[in-house]
Amino acid sequence: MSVPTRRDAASIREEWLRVALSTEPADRPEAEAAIAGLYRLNGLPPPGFHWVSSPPEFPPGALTRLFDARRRSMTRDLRAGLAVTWKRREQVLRLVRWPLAGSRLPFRLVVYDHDPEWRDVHDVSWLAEFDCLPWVPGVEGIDLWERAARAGGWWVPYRDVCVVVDRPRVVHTQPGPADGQVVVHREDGPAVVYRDGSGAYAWRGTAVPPWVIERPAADRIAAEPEPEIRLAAIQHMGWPEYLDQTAARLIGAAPDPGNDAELRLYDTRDHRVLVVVNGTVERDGTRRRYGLVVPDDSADPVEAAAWTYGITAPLYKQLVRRT
Amino acid sequence: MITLDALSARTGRTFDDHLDRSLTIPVLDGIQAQGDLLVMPAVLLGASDWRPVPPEGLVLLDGVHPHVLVADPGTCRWTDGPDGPAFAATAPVYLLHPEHGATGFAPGHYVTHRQREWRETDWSPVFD
Repeated sequence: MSVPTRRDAASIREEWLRVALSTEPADRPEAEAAIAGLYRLNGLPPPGFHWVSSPPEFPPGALTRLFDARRRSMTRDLRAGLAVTWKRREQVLRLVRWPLAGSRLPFRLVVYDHDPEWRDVHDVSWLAEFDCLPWVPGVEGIDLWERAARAGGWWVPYRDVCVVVDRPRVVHTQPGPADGQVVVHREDGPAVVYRDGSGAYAWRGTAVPPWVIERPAADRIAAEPEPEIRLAAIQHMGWPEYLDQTAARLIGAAPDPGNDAELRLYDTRDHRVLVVVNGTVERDGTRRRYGLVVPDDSADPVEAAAWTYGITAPLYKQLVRRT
Repeated sequence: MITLDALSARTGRTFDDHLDRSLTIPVLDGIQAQGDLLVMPAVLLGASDWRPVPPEGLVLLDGVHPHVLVADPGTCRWTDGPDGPAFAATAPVYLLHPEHGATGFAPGHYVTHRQREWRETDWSPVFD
């Protein structure tokens, strides 16, 4: 058995990323054949298929727990039967599984009220992981899960019918925080547009309501109960604008050693925030101010700025140029 | 001393068109930050896996935009540092970024740190 190299692992990760981000219409006959195979493994006759262009409100009564339990026992058997070293397993996790699992891909924007865990079956990271590892004889089903994922469509099984959501028509992303990660993100519209024209909004991988992208405003933020959504809306507005409109408390200000601007540290509802000024002039002739969330115990603007670069304040004070 | 225009011609890398292309990039030997990337002089202990910076440049940090280190052939080597790539230059080298322009480094040893932000209970890297 040959052991794939780093490049193989990276190319397998990229291939599954393409699957997860694909905007091609689903291959319906292939998806239906694979899903019918999974019904058979669960002791069920092939279902009828109901294709939809965007995620509907799924009615209760789905068999997701049954299908997911079988999937989990399959992955347990696959892991138990793998004849590879721990080093190789760790390499596949690091290069393939974790970057994909840490990515925020379009499937995460679909809401399954009846069974929130069902979303994880449409994560490609576990499929990509097994794609890098040798085949385990005697474990049925992984090929069917893989075919269903490649054919496209997010599906929810019911006893007589399987509801399948076709792939979206448009997906906007940006690189994620760690190597190899990709997150759904769009600043001026829905990050994902389905084939019926409806959309889903996302900010740096977080699903957000439309107002966060279309009309973020301090009063909407004040009324929003979810901290993640508040933060996304503030980041989209820009911390300086948000701070100008709210009664945030200025903890301290100090000259930035790296350029001729000021560092300002604020206390806000959820966060301590450091506002810094870019050294480089923007298109419109101004210099961009931006805010960075710093640890809650930050008390000094220069210490907070030093923390953002992972160095001490005395070192940061020696900064000679910041652009 | 070299201008942004000359760096662009030499490397084929482009900068946002509103940046002043006649700006001379200072070559400094202290700590410098380029947006979300900090570069500081350092004594590197124990690093043995030194590789030359390739002719097309080396991406020190990739995000929304890359920070690319460019050097004349044979003047700069790099290795893995404590918190990101580290490099050793024997002639001035430049770090290029489409939005931030260029940062010049005098000969010396440098380590890089990526800027970070607090996120609930831990830190996460800054998107730039």
